[in-house]
Amino acid sequence: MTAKVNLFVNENLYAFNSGTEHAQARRIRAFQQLGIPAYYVTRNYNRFLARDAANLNLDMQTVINMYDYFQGTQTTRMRKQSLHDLADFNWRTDHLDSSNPNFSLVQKAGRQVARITVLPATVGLVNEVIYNDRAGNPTRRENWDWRGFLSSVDRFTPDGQVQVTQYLNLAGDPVLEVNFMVKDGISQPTIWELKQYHGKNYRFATEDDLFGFFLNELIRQNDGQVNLWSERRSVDRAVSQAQGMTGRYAILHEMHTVTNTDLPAGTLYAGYQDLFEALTPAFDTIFVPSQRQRADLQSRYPKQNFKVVPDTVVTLPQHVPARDQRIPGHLLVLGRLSAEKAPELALQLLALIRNYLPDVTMEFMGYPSSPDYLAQFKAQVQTLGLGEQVFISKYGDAKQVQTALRRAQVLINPSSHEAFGMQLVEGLAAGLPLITMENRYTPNAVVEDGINGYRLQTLPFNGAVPKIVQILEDAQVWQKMSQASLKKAQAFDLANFGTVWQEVLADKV
Amino acid sequence: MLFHINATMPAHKSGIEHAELKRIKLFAQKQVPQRLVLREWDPKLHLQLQKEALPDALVLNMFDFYQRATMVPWCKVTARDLDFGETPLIWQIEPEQQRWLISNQADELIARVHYYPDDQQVRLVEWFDTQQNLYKAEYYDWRGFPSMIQWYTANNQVSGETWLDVKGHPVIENYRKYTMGNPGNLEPTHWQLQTENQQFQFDTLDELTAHFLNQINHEFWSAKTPNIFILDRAHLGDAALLNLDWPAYTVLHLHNAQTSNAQEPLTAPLNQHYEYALHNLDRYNAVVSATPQQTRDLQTRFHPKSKLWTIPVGIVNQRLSEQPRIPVAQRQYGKIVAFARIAPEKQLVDLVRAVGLAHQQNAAVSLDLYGYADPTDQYRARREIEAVIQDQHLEQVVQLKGYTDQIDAIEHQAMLYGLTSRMEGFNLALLEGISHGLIGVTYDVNYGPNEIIQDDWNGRVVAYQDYEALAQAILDILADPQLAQRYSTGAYESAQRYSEEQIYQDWEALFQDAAAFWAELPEGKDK
Repeated sequence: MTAKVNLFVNENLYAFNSGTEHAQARRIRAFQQLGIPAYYVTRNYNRFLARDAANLNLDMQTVINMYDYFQGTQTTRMRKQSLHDLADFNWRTDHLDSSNPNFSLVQKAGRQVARITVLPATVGLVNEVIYNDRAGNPTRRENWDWRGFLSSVDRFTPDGQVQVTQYLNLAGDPVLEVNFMVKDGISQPTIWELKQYHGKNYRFATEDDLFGFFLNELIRQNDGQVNLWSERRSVDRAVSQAQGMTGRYAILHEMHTVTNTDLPAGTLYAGYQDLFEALTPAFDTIFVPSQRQRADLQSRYPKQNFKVVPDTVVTLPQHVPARDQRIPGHLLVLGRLSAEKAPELALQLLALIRNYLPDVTMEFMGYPSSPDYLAQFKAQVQTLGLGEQVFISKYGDAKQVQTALRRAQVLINPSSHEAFGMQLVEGLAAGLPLITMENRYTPNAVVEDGINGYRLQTLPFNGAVPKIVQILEDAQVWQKMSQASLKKAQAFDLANFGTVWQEVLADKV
Repeated sequence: MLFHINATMPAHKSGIEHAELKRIKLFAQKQVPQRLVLREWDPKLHLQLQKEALPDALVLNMFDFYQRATMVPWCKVTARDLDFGETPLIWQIEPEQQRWLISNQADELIARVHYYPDDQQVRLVEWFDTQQNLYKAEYYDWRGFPSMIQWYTANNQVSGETWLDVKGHPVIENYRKYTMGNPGNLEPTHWQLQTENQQFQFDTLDELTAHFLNQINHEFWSAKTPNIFILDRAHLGDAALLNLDWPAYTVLHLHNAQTSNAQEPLTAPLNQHYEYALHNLDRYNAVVSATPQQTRDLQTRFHPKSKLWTIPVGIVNQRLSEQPRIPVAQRQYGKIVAFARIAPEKQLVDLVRAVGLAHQQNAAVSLDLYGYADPTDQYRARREIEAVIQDQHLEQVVQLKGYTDQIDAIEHQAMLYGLTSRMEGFNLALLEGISHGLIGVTYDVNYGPNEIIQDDWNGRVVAYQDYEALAQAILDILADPQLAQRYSTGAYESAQRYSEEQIYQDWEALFQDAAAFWAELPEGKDK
């Protein structure tokens, strides 16, 4: 056990998170339970940080965002700021038109003075106040934090682009100022000014330079007793430049190559090139979720140190719904709706299963990578005549995911491009038989062919369709596989997770 | 509280500022609670106030008020005291430009620091980004704090301004846009005021000014005595004072002729500066002009319901009244002086012509002109005078002396004061002349000269634009020492019409009217 502070560094935590953020959030929570100091550190400005952290079941005390830190608003609590009592306007002279739930208009003698947008999923809480000049042009935007304070102000150029953004402390003083100029033909930040931070000014050329300064400040405040972990490839460089910590590590959550057919020497994802081709010397160890990925990377980069840590941890439920408490013939696909996750393969599979079981249904839960992709996917559902069979649910928070897992009979993973398969581990804990496309980095510890599910080859799925039908139709088969999944889930519980991590921390760190 | 409203207090003051300063000093002696209210942002204001010996506590500048900077002690801030946010730095001075260039080790310019040459106090910091674009200009108040930021766009245009309080907190901002009414130029189309509790949006600076006047009327409210607003420059508040939400006693103070041609006060088009106010004359509590002639003409032309007051703007102070009188015999025979901007409306070229004519008859006649050359029309007024001097070979007779503050020394020596303006609101310089015993020779011009000079008492008043008659008047005076002495004595005596006591009595009458107005207001004025 170590007293060092673990700073897990990411870009952000989002309204819609990918496995990277989920895995990181779970780890932070587990560390908290295990008494290991750990923080979720983020770079990006996020006015919805408190909401998004809550959606990931993260205590705000374990989240350190760079902007929040410099704004001095880390401990600010939620306060409801209704647009009806904003001090920006004089309601004795201005009219408020609130006929739209998403925004209100402030009017003075019939002229629009400002447009106030409403925080998503709230009734009348202030999101932005966009001021208009006498001809209705936008001049200034005030951006409010989810917690109900004015967080930043944008000034617009004469043609309506952001010219300068000032980030404010609670007293309304600008503590960070970002000026925009045209560079390479587009308007973008060209100078970052940190003002009177501990009585001194600082200038930075980029957000990442500021981020590096910020990380160094966090390290300094912990007297250097810090393990610094890079969680996303977009922050590798900033993390690699930090100074004074005891250890520096990167964690991978994804496959590092573009295809899974030419491993281990395949083409790297663009995002991974910097890490493996330039930055590896800066990192003491690079951690991956599976032994096989470790072996592939180790053979490719023999000088670098690679190790395996659990990608995820699950809480084993006290009670798992029995087969007859679930929707008969209901299949679940968890994950982002996007091309690399291959949800259309799940549709192909569904079409084949329907030949045996006309009442089969399939639920997709996840956020679409783009509106275009969603439209294209829906069109494909219609083309395959699966309109009655397919349900697309919204991205769900932890509770909604659990509910979806409890109503399904089988969890399907159509992607053959997983670094581990976090959602499959969720399926284990939910006692579900698992059907996955063959994945190089998903170990048998998660899906063992014929024991707790099946590993499918490419179309036409190596004759597995009748076997899947059997799981759905035969209570005994389902029961056997469900038990097998629950048994495998134990390997991913907090105790095992803690044992591995504590070894890693004690050994290496 | 009594408020005198003006734009600012520049180093080159016009008659309005001189009149206002005399009034403020008189009221200070009489312990009238008062503030000089100034509308324009001026980073050197408090330096100028120091030169005028006006205490900060007596002055309420609108920007200062919202910047919480009415009373800020001067503090030395040089380029070396600034924090540029990077180290190490390379310093390079450009003394001719009065600025420092500050660069980093990569030889990228970070900032240009402009300073006041006499004490190196920072005046302006221009900031450059990583692409070497100027992105903001930070103007310092002379007292040593950043007061206003101008934001630059990628095309090097100022897209707006932000005023800061002394702690660096933004309090007033404007935003500029291109408009069809002003193509090619960015103009402020939105103003925002941020106070501790509330924000306010305005379309124009004048709307903000109106808000400010309203606010000081609230802040200095007293149920016992009315606030009195004296508007010395009409454009700053002619409408705003009519729209205060709590009552106050409002005074329109004319400092110039109300018509574009002062010689035709009953028929000529209105002076554009006063047009709005004159159309709303009934709505001010009081209208002050400096001469009975102007008051009479206002009455005849407008028949206003508001009260008209004649209160001279010139005040002869005690010190000047008590100076020993200098006999004409001890003065330089034939020396004429004039103190005025060399500007078209002063028409000094007529005075030069009159002096030229008189000089042909009496070689002792000479003229010294003191005052800044007005740059209007490429210094047209000065060039016209120079042409006449050259044509008539008056190089040894007429001297252009430039601005001076050595008034006592010059006026104790000279003999006559000449005036040939096109129009006046009063003419403080002429009053100063007679109070030094100078004999006045002037056109019969509205308003002031033909009141300050009474024909055959303290000088001569000749027909407007008749410079030949003016030349003859000069020759007549120079030809008769006894007459000259009588006029000079008359000048000293006539100045007593403008003594402090006399002028304050006039103001007291106005204060009494204000008090009566207050007493008649219905209950509820005590907010």
